[in-house]
Amino acid sequence: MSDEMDEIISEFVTEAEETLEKIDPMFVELETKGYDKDLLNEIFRGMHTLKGAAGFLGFQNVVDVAHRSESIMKRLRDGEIALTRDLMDVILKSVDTLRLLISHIKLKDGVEEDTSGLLAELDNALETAVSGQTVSQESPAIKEEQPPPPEEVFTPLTPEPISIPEPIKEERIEPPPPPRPKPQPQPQTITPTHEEPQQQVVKEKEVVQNLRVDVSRIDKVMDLAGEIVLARNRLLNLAAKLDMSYSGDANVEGLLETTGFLDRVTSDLQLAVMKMRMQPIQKVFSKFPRMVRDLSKNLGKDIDLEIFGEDTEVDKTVIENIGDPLVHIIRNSIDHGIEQPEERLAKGKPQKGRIIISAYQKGTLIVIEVTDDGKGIDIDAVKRKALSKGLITEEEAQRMSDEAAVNLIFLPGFSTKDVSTELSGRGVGMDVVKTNVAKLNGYAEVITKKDQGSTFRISLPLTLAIIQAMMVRIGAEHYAIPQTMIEETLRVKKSDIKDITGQKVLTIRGKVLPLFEMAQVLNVRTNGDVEQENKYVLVATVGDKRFCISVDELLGQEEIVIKTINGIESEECGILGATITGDGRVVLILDFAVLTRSMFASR
Amino acid sequence: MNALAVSSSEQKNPEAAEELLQLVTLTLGDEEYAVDILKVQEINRMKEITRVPNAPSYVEGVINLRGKVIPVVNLRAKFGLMDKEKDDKTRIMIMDIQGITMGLIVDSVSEVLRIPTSIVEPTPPMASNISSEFIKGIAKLDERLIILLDMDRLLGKSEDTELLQLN
Repeated sequence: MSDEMDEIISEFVTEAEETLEKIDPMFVELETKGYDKDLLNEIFRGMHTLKGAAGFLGFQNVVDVAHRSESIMKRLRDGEIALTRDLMDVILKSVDTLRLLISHIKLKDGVEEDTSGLLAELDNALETAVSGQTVSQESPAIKEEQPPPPEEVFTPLTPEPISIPEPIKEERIEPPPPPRPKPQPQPQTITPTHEEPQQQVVKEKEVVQNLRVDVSRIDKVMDLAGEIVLARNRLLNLAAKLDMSYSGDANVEGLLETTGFLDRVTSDLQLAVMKMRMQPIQKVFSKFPRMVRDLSKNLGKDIDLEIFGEDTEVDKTVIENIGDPLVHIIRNSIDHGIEQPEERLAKGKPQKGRIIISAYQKGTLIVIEVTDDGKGIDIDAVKRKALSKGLITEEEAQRMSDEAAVNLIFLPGFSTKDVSTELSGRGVGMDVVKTNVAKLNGYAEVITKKDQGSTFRISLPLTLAIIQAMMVRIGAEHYAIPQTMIEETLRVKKSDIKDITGQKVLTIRGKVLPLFEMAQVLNVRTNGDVEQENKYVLVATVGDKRFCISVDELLGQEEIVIKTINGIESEECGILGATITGDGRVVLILDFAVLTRSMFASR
Repeated sequence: MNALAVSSSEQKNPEAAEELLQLVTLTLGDEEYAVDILKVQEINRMKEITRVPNAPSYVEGVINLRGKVIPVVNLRAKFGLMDKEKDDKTRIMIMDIQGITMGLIVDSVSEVLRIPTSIVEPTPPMASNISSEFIKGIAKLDERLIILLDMDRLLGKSEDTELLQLN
């Protein structure tokens, strides 16, 4: 296949995927709202465009499916048939099949899906819907026209481009078709667009406002912006030094002014580039209405899903990686959180369960919450299970606060399917949630109240490429620690640090926390330094672990650009990446998600 | 700039009646080694290296190469030779190994050589201090014996992960 054709096809695939993604939640919305002309129109248009493009490229199986769904949508839109649950099921099924077909096209695996079953199902559904309908003035004509589609069912591979008679005929009632505004290379192939000319035009205009850019290009700009940040840091550093030695010199003043300006511009540039990678989280959220609908239907539960803040923008990497953890959490809420309708009624709760997904920005963090009004997590059961799995000791279980106990579900090894049923199931795959979130440099927590429900909260940094970090000195080495995991910094006397069975501990406001010497954890050569009387201690939280680390000096907070190191298994070394400081020095960024594993293992 | 760039301009070589190898030679102790010139990006003087905790022992650390952070491997440690004080002859060879830029600490870098393939002999067993699997062959040049290193084997991905697992 020629490159040009490849390009056209890949464009088609992208567009088709976007269309399907867009219309999927609409179906669910439609189901709750009942008849809604705008929605139906929107879906209809999506299907229609998909059909047109697929027809032009000769993907007959896509055309067949899309065409039938389109016919159903059209009748629904015109109020000729009513939306039933069965009808919806079939349509949703066809959307799934379309997605499958598109993915085959994308992968070029040449797999031919057998769609004949679905096609027949679609035709059947339409027929039942039409015949079951009180006959309106137009419907007899439509009924008679109905039979033709089945013929095509049996010849699905006809190579001829689609020219389906019925929709056009019906369309004649409406204003005459405008010329298709979309620049389609071969106008003769597709049935002309015939719906709402104005809206179509408006849509085209919107498209021009957006530019589809290759991600690698944006990443390149991002990299370069990072370089500028480093150069700026270095310049600021040098200018400050010059100012100290030649204070009052006119040229130095000028330099300071210019670097100050550069500083501001660079910050703006950084923000602008960051924004280029940001996308509304709706991209992830949009698949949830469908998922909640399907799952709750399967389980015989009645659940309302509410989504807030889908316009919240997050980094592209977050979009790519947050989907799975959220699916886990939502599935968990539906499966184990929300009770069966009878149980809910018995508890005096509304019969319909509620799940609320929300996203919002809080300072430099993006917070995503999934709240259900189900039965909450049984803390005692969690403790029992953690105990039986040897994750905690009897003593720990007794002392443990409820808050800490609930977060045990995030421990790897906590969740396995078999025991989960016994435990009313909370915690299936929750360690996956935690690991994925930790990869994004964020953290996950859960808040629960018996019979009132649970809230899973994921907090993520706004951007992944530039982070706030605390720069510390350990021995002669400098390290950066992401600010997100630091709770507070303290200066303590050496005598405050106690030793309990070989483990150093520090009491902070009544809580005893383990203390780790970073010089030991990182095997830093200390050259037999005299131990200082005062120690700098950072209180850190990683997931459910709260602990202190001691360093030799705090060098201050800095905005740093994360650089990945190729050629080193940095994850195994407990390193998130590296950054280059103002004076050109390489400083490693510590990854406590990894380091804590060995720190706590050696206790 | 302390970089002595060894570009591939040496490639222009029309009189290729016999196939020629273009090599950069380096020393470790008394032995002379050579690597394919195309793998060498530049040769730098010793500079500040940031140690990476918990990394394999032969990884000396990372350096800042014009804004890129790249790992640096100590070739002596890699070959299991005694460590040697860094001096003003010590060099960091920046190499491109299977798409990954890496630095390689060597005692010194001597010259760029062009030798015919005919003088390269297969590795005799136990010919050197280092394991023969990293050696492509041995070139005899007058009185000199130059060991040709197989950089991909030496620092390639598969081997690297293997070693990490051992650690």
